[in-house]
Formats: sequence, C-alpha cells, structure tokens
Amino acid sequence: MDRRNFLTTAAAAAAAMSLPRTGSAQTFTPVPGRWRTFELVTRIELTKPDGTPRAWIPIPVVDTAWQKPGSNQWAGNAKTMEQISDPKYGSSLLYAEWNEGEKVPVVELTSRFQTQDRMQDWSQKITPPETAAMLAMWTQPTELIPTDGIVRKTANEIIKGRKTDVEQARALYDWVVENSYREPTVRGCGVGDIKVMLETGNMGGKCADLNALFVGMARSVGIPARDVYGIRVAKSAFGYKALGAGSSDVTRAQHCRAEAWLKDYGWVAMDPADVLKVMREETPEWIKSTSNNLIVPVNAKLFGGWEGNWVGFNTAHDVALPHSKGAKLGFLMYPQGENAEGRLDALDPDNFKYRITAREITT
Amino acid sequence: MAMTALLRYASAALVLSLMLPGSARAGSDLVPWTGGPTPQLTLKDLAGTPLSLADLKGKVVLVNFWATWCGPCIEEMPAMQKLRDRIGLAGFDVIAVNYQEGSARINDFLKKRPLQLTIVRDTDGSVKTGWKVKVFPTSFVVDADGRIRYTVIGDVDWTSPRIESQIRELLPKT
Repeated sequence: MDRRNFLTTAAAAAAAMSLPRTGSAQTFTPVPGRWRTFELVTRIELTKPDGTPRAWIPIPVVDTAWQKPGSNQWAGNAKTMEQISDPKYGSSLLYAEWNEGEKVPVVELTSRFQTQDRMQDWSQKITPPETAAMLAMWTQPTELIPTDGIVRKTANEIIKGRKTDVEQARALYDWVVENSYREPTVRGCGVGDIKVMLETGNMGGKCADLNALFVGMARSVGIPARDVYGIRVAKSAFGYKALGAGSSDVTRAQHCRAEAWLKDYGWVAMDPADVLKVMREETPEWIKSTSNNLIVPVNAKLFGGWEGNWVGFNTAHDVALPHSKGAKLGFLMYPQGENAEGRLDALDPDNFKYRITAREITT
Repeated sequence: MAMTALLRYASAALVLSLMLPGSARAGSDLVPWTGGPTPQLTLKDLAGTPLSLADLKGKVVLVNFWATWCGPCIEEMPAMQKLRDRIGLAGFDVIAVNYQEGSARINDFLKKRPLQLTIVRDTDGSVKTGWKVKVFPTSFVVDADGRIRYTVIGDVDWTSPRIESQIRELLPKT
C-alpha cells in the first residue's frame, strides 16, 4: 500500500467512525483475559493556599479478579504525605498537609494498576468465597442509601414474582433503566440521595445517583450490592464515546459502577447508569428506547459485564476524611482539599486546582 | 399542596427548569414551620468572614439554600433582592447559603448578576444536612427571636404582596 492509498483508507475509516450509528448493528462484547496496565497521575496545585492547606487523593486499591492494584508513588512539597486506609471498607487515600504559608502547595500521585474486561459466564455456577459478615455489611444502609421506607417498598414491588436473586437483580436493573434517566446538567457524578429521588419522582441523575438506586434497592431486598467509585482511563474499544475517556486528560472522567453479590456467581458487574448515559449522550438525539440498535448490546452486557477501560478506587460510603473537621463525604471519587475557608469545591478542578491524566503502559 | 406533590414540583423544577419557560411555573407558598428548634448556622462569606445567624437576632432573616447550577434558585434571587431592598436592612436580611461551590465559581456567577445578598458558603454540606435540606431551592423565614416560622421548597415570588405581608408581620414592633 502506498502512502496516498493508506491516507485515503485512514480518512475513510475516520469518516466511518464519525457516522451516526443508530441504524447499524453495534457490538459491545467485553471479553476477560487481556490485562491492560495503566498509569494514572493526579496532580494537585492548590490555587488558594490560605491557612493550613490539606488534600486527599483516592488511591485505587480495589483488588479483584478484574483489577490488580500496582505501585503508588507520590511527590510534592507537603510537610506530610502519607497513605491512609479505612478499616471498614478498605479504601485508601493519599493525605497531604502543607505548612501554613506555603505559597504553591503541590502534590502528585502516580498510581499503576491493571484492569481487564469483565463478563459473567452465567453457565458456570460457583460457590463464591465471601464471609457472612461481609455480605451482611453490603446489605446495610448508608447515610444516602437507606434500605427502608420508600426504597424497600419500591424494590419489593419491582421484584414481585421474581424468585431467584438473578431474576430480582435483573428486574431492579431493568427498572432503573426504564424509570430513570441521565441528566447531563447534574454537577459531577451526582449526589446519590436515592430516597429524595424516589420521594420526589425526580429520576434524573448521573452514575452516583442511578447506580446508587440499583444498589440501595438491591440491599433493601437482601441482595448484597455495592457501588465501585473510580475513573475512566481509556476510550471504549467498541466505539462508544460515552463509555470511555475522551483523551488522556481524565480530570472529569470519574465514573462509578455497581456490583451485586449473587449466590451462585459471587460479585457480578452491574452498570445501568452507563446504559442511560449511552441513551442520553451517545448521539445528538436522546435515545429513549432500549430496543435501539445502539442500546441493545450495552443494556444486555452491562448486566454482568463492563470494559476494562476504567479503574475502581474503592467501594466506600460515608467517608470521613482523616485530619478533617469537615462533614463526611457520601463517597470518595474526586480529589479533596481544604484551606482556611473550608472544603474546596472538588467539582471545579480548574479553580481547585487539580488535573488527572491516564496513559496505557504497553511495553 | 400535598408535601409529596410539592417535593415533586420543586425537585423536578430543579433539574427541568432549563427546559421550561420561567413564566410557566407559579411561585410556592410559605408553609408554617413545625420542625422544632432552629439549627446552627455559622459559615464564612465570600471574603472569608464568619457570619452566624445568631448575630442577626433582632432581624427577620430569610435563609435560602441555593447553588449556581439550580435554575429555580437563580430565578428567585432577584425577587429576594427586591424584598430586602423594599423592607430594608434595619429589620430584614437574606442569608443565601451556597451549597458546596467554590468562591471563584460564585464570584463568576455574581459578575453577571447585580445581587447584594449576603452569600455564605456551606463548603462541606454540613449546614445543609443540619437544616435537613434535600432539594434546592429551600428557604426558611426566621423571626427576630431566631425561631424558624416558615419554610418553603421551590422558587418563590418574594415580591408578591401576600408573602411580603407574611414577612412584615414578623418584623419587630417599634
């Protein structure tokens, strides 16, 4: 192939990628087995270092069959930089504290990890290892995820007539997809206050709202479930722009997924929020039918699977930041900071300020 | 209006307001407060100066919880300003409690809007939690003795004669 032909072919391929895909057959088939190594760099450079500046950066410590944590290295001019872990959920963060008067507080965390696609083999039943105490923990309420009242009432109505936990989880997943929606104007990934969502009937949100709905309702009917808070680190291999990071700058690419513990399968991937994201954002038009060609494959496969282009930080709720007098966080997915004025706006990285970059290590 | 319906309206308005013409929504009514003692409110303003609700005893205070991303919040702010201007700072004030946004973002917002309301920042959301606020906007009318007398969820036409009258009735008699 000469260079002119190659360029023509490449241009044609690029044009094909940019065509609307609503009418064509689309695939979404994550396949486990190929580990990918990534490096995630979070750099904080506080713009208003009044008082004694502090910062907290989530460290990816989820250690599972689909993700292996690697090294974590940090550098900066803080007087204290230490990794601190939470005994309840096992989450971990880098804590940095600077001397009062430090003019340009800087800290940078470099984390390496491996991820792979995840897809449940429903034909292979297993006896998953998990202790009764752990499973009990994952059916407990959190501050934003109550499991009584309207949450349990709604969930019980949804699972009526469904006998197995797989059927019940599928009913809850389908209900979230059919009854809620991705709301792009919500800041960050949402708050995750599922009781208010159900009471008000305002079912718009982002992943922290929509997947928390699934998690809360699952817990309320006795199915252990948890949110996994993390960030997208690469494009989707299946061409879904909504399901991947747009570039190596992933500062705003946070995403939380969910898992349900099913007794014959163990922890199983669930991500109804990403189905709703594709419906709302993959094309200029809001796709409102799950029978659309673009939606069918993701709706089918995100019940039991997800792509390894994302890393999970932790599964923690009601997170008290160590050395902070401020309120607990509903979850820890964004870098956090404080100065003399109080907690910094974690959803405003340009003024905070922080930047997160990701790259795949291929050598 | 039933509470559930009110919440549905308020929260839906929160998210859907960008898609609705402002004139399509009627303002909400003040609801007498039955929720018990007034929670603590001590926060810093945009200059970093601490402000406590307790310091404003002797004035009627409208405590409003808002955010720059909340359409109905933004819509009702000019009416709050007008009400404050009309009644006068001697007996009335507004504390606009911003929910978890940075001062840079709030200052950008204020550059586009001529508001002189007292804005304080609930940087970690603890005051919102203490006041049991679930949706935005939510407002409370606190009397001169520091007791909450009314609350309202959703945006309000603060310039309506009825609402102004309800607030004026709470002003200390001179």
